[in-house]
Amino acid sequence: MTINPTEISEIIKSKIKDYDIKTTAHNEGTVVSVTDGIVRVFGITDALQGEMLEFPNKIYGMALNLERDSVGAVILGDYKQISEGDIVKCTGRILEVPVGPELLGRVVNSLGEPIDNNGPIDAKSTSPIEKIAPGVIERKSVDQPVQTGLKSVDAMVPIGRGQRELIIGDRQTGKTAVAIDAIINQKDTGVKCIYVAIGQKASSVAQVVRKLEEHDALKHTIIVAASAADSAAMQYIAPYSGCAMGEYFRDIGEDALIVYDDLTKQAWAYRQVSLLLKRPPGREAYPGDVFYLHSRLLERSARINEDAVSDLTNGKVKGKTGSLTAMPVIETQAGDVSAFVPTNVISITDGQIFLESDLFNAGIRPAINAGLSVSRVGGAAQTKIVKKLGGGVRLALAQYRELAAFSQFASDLDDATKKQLDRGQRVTELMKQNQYSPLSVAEMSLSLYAANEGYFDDVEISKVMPFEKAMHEYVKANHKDLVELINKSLDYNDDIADKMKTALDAFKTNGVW
Amino acid sequence: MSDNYSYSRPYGEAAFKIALEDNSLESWSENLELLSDVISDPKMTDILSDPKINDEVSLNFLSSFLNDSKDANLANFLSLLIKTKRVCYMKEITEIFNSLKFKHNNVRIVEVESAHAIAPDQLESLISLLKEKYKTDVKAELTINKELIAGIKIKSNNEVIDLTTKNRLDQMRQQLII
Repeated sequence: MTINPTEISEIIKSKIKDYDIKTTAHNEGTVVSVTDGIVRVFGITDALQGEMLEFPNKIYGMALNLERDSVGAVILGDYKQISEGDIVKCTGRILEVPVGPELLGRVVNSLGEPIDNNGPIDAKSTSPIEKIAPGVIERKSVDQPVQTGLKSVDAMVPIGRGQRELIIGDRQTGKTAVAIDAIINQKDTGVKCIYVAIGQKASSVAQVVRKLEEHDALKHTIIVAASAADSAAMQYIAPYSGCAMGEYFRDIGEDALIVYDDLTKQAWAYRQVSLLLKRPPGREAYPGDVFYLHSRLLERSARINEDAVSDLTNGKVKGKTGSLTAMPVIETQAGDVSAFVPTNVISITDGQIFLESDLFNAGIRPAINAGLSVSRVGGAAQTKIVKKLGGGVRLALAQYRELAAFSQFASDLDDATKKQLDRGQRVTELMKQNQYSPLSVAEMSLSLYAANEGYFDDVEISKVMPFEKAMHEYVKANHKDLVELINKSLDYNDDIADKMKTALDAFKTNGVW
Repeated sequence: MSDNYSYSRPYGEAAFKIALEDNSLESWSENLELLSDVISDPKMTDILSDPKINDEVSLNFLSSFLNDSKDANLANFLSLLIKTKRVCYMKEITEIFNSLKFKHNNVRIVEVESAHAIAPDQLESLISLLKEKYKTDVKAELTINKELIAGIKIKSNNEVIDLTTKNRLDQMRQQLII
């Protein structure tokens, strides 16, 4: 924030004027030891689990281990200023972060403090970072789609509002790219996005911010960054802080999408904190509650019904459901999905998008493995037209995978098999999509329709992408009403099918690619 | 520090139970305080940690300080502490013993820190207020601390009620820094 020197005295004056000195009774203890961001405090026998502790110089900590004669706490910030014998005050509050629409377009740390040099955030309310997930009564089943704008995701592994869809894959397989594309595609849909970066390089986070800004997607997005240089405690709480910010939108009857990038690093940070707190290590040295660490976080992503929204807003918002969709990211090591954290998160989520290095290196990007990727609840939420047309694509790819091994003996195969192979190759090619270029439902439907009806069959494989691009442009230019009709109704019927056929026939004869 | 309390707690509690059964809380308390003073002396620590001095000698030596050495239980307690090498935690054991004693007698120890001397009638009214607040008998320990500038600071167990000017200034400073 830049302050004009003449304003400083005014600011100080108003601060002194408005300052209200409170006298309250509080609990006090003393620091016994400080080690690697972990502080042992003696004397605060009434501390709560997860309570915010105040250290000198406005440094805060969080009580995690409540033992008989001492409290183990993690420092949120610079622990080097704390020394033995310092006074610790209990605040009587569970750790809270600011929430609200004021945070949109901002980059904040795990405590909700701005780190983007754009001045203070004037948030009207705060929310505890750890909250109990909505219960059975408050929930509603998932039946509205979150359009990611990626053909391969929306057609094959659809995501619904309130769903938890895992993005899993090795390093350098485009996990973040899928998530960022999904965020960019929420522009103008009213879905608010939260991107939580955990343990990433600060330069990577900066790049994400820049890309979102470039695509005009930052204004509906909150970025919560706990970079690799931040303390393990900050990395551990970042997802919970982001979740609290997302829950705000869910609870006022809006839709939000949260990306946790990535939960493997959060589990590492939590492992570090736990080991330093001397909690006993278990499998892969993770503490015993590493499953609960992720299950309680992801359980908070939910769709809640109209009554729950009405209750939560004291009747101000009526007849609206709220949702928080989660896209956690997990990085595997050498494709090992049977490691501890990946298996945990796979079992918690409602499906996964499985990305593979081999596909990525073969140029199939997004590198989605269509066989292993599933969405357990998304089908109910999928846009009708994409659902109808996407079925064929899935089938073609499944058949192609079975036959792919024979593709080397192409000359010895019968015609039907050959046709399936050709179709499969073209559909695989069609499922490629450049980064930062999400497609509308109409564009996606056209591509899927063209694939199903064999419009690609006589196109050379290398020409499939230019063909698709030219087709979209031709239809958008010459059949604007059809594009609008599909995007508006999202429905599939004979009328739309006929119109698509006419448009594509016209393109085939007149178009250039 | 906190570990010392964990080690000392069972001994403090056991001593308290014995003293309660024998109906000799006061004499135990006096003796323990005396021993704790003796043991916290640095010279004494050297003597007790000297490998050339065996347990029996140190027991006799420590027993010689006791007012009423006829209490067999106290002598046994002391010999147990020496045998288990916990005699160095005498200070903590005494603290735990005393806190249990005060709890048993329904008395709360309140430390009052003040910038200036407090008139007896003022202290009296403060104590009666605190008695009402904590619903127990209150025993106040007054200390003078010029650093507080003005006002008083009341400490009881872990609870702190800070009514000093220093606290107000600190709060204001923090408000202005941010």
